Amino acid sequence: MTSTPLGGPDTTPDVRGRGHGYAAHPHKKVTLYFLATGLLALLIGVLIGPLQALNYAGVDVYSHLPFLKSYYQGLSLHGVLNALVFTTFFISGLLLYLPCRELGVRPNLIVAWGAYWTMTVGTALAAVPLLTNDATVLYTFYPPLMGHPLFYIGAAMLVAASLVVGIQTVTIWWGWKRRNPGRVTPIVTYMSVATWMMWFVASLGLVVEVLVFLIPWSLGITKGVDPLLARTLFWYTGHPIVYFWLLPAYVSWYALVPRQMGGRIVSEPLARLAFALFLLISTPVGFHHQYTDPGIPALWKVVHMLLTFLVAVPSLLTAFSVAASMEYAARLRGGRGWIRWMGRLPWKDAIFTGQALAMISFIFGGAGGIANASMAIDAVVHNTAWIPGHFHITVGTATTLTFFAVSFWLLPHLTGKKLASPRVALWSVWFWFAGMMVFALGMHWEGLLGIPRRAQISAAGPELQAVYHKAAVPMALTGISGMILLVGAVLYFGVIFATLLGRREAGAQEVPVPFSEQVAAAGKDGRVHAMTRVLENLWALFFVALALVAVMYGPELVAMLLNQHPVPGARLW
Amino acid sequence: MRHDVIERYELGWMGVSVVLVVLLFVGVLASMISDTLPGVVESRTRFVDPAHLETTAYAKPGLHEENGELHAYVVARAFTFTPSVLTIPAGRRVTFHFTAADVLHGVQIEGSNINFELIPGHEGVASATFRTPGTYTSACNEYCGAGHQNMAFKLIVENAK
Repeated sequence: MTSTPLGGPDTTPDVRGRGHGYAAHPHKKVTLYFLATGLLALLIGVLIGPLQALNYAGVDVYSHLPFLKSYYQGLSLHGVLNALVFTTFFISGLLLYLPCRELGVRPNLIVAWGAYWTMTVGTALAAVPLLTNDATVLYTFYPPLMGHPLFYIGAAMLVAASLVVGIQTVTIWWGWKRRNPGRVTPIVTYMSVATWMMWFVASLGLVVEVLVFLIPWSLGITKGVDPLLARTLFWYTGHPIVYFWLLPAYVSWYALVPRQMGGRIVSEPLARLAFALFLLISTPVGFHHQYTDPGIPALWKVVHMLLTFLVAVPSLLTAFSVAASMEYAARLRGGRGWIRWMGRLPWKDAIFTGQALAMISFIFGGAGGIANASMAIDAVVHNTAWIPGHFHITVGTATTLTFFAVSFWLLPHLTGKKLASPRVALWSVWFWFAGMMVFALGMHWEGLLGIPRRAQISAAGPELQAVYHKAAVPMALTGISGMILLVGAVLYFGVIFATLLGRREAGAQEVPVPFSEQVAAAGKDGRVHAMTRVLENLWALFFVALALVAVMYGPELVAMLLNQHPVPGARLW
Repeated sequence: MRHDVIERYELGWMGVSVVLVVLLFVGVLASMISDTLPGVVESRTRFVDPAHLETTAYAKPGLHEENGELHAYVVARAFTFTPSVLTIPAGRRVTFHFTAADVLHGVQIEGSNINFELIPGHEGVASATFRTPGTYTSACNEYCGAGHQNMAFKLIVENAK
């Protein structure tokens, strides 16, 4: 019933004391830099969070802060650093490193370091106008609000560098395929390549928006930008980017968590199917962010709504498969009964618990996502506090908490240093989870009462304050959640800093990459599951995905491009 | 746990998922047909020049009667709605027209399903009948700059005199 993972994972042991394992695996260092830089961005972004939570509790801290000009400047930093910078760095590190180790291939280090430095310099360039209040345009940067050119140039470098990492990973996979004809791609590599290919399709909108429109406009070369066209290009990328954040967490849930809890992957072919479906239908759904936009025909909104509902199917598959892997592991550990087996899972381990809590948050986040797909619900919740409530339990918990848990084994693996305090690590994930649950409750509730999102409501006039008073209870919840999350963040970053600054252990065993085995492997005994054989054609899936996007977006985008109504930029903050 | 057993359950679960999401989709279509979702079909793709609103129907914002129908024109501009207070009669169907003059704004009329992203050059159009007299206050719900949090729109619904 068991098998070893295919493709000969890189099991070269590390020699401690000589280059701390970098000699055997020099790509450990660039991976570490990607992760650490991402976490540093997250630290700054997260520390601004409680100020925003207090704003939503009606407490205005911003008017008294020396270093931030406004709530909106703080919110721009919070959104850009957490949702764009942290995720892009962390994913670039993770989804390059894991396939390399699984295939036993070393990446070209010049390319990898080049991507890292491009990303870092881009982030630094974008940070300058953000910090000087010259790019207070929030992380959606809708024109005609016009930020400083450096903001757009830095953002473009960040995205470009991520694409370089993606191309590198896909190239490594393709080289392996050519050296190993007829063999099935191992599961982690399959998932990583599918994710990167999805990102190639998905990032096109943002790339065109920033390169063709926003950079020339902010430099004064062009006079205006069509705001609807820019919004459409933004959301072309803006929805699938959430899968770019989520799928690396799925990689861990599907392929690493089973080993971490002492079990195996129960169903590999359907895991591949889920990723293939994400590659196909993540992108042509973006109009669901524009249901309330005039200027887009209702028919296209309805078509995108259908696809949005369908993209829930691979997530529902994931829920089943991951839960089955959990039950399998728990029964191996002696679990019995319908419910009682859950108690047998390794709840004292922060690596498992962080990810299990991330999964639980995604049950709510995913269900909310299905609700948001509906045009009818959207009319009630669009641009209300409901929306940030939703994405803080998806990217803010399902993704972020999974990355926390991954960092608990991956940072020791990369550095040869022991996790500083497994106990504090465990507390940190519980605090984060609890904080986000309270936050989501408060924000969803406020949204249903019509409280707008991203407004400095604590500084609103008495007339609107009187209206907001009806939401006093959920607003208090948001404020409290900010404090719980602050504790969680302090505990988490405390452990991370203590680990990274700690002493390297002499002669210690390397923490292994927890590649899981499968109950039934895809290519065992030469019998390859029929579905696996079909899904192995990732290039074909990639081109089908492009064609699908051309059909679903082409007519509207072409019409908008041919019929532009540019509007001049404005700085109103 | 045997692999083939799990796979059978899993395929069943996938079937249930597909049926579930298709049913949800049909449910939303039903709500659109039953007129609980104003503004989706009525917002035509007509360009309204934000630099020359005086040449459009938005030249005189406010409530107008056209051919026996009530039309309300509202312009969003940083950081006010014009008019900022709109009075309409209870029980009569009113067609609201919203547009933005400078940057993006947003409006969600309290107590209704009218919710528009207001984009310069485009107009959100929705018809609705407010039956309960009262004051409905909404804030601009798309970030538009430093005064965003104080940009309010008040709809007063009065009994016909």
